[in-house]
Amino acid sequence: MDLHLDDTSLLAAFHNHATKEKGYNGIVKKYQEKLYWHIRRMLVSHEDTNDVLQMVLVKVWNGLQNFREDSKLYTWMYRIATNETLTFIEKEKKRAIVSLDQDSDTFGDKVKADAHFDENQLIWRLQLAIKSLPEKQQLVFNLRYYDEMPYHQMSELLDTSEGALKASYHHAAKKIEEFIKSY
Amino acid sequence: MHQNKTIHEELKALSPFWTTIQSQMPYVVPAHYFESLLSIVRAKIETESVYEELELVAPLLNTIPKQTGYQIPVAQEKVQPVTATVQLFTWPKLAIAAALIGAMVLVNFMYTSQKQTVDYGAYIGADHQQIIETISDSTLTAYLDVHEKLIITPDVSDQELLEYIQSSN
Repeated sequence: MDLHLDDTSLLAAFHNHATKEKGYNGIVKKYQEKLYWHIRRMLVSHEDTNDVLQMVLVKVWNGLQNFREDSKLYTWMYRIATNETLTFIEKEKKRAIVSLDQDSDTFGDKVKADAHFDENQLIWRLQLAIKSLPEKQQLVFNLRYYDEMPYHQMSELLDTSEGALKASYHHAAKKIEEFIKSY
Repeated sequence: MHQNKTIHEELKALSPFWTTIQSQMPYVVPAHYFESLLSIVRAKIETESVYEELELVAPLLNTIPKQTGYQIPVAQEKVQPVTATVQLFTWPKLAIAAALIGAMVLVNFMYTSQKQTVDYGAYIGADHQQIIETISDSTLTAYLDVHEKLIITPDVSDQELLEYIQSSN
């Protein structure tokens, strides 16, 4: 299926029994990379990202049947990915507490553990700085900085007012700047 | 990744520091990952549909591991071909066996078909006195000569016995 098809055409294909799978395949092919990076920026590790992304795409398959087009497909899929990612992070935190694992890696440690990590490069320091932020602020920063998402779309996705998101983004940018300068 | 103008201006307004930062991601994705992802997810969806189907019908089965208890022997012994076993039963032997079985079935059938059945109901309901009266004396005497002799003691003569019968009538 043509990846350049608009969401309406892809959804129409999905809702047609004869082209359901083609419609789904087209949606996955179109959005898989964006969703992957959205999750990976939060989870750092490719393996964790892969697990969560697969869960997200299965949920998309299950949920598309009842998807109401009062929100954009892109926003709806991002919301599923965001929820699954935050759930995964919470589980990781609980697992570390329950197992009393003192050596449990923080996400900052995971950045440093990456095979290509180079602390002399600014792009790696930026990742460390982002991981020092609270999760919600990381999300806002990533969606705006990397995905270049408009505030109104982010507002729909995170169920937060545009003003609050803007303030959060600016606050995050300042904290990152301070982190990098003091590193 | 090239940031759009609005976002670039927004950050630049916050601090000139952001003009020095590139917005590219340093992480690496395994080769061909995105090419294979769809087929992996499709397989997962199929597996989940099988699970959910069973969950509705017999959820207990979903709690049991799917491995079978069977094990393959470590040392593979040479398996005897099935044809070798079949050769034990050659055609002449099979024909003789079939003929014997047939004969046994035939004899059994003939025996059971000739066997007379006794109508005990008719026997019990019959008027024995009337039946005996239709039998002639000579017939009865002949019968007694054959059967009753065997239980008579040797001390009793035939004459005495005849007199006994006549006196009884």
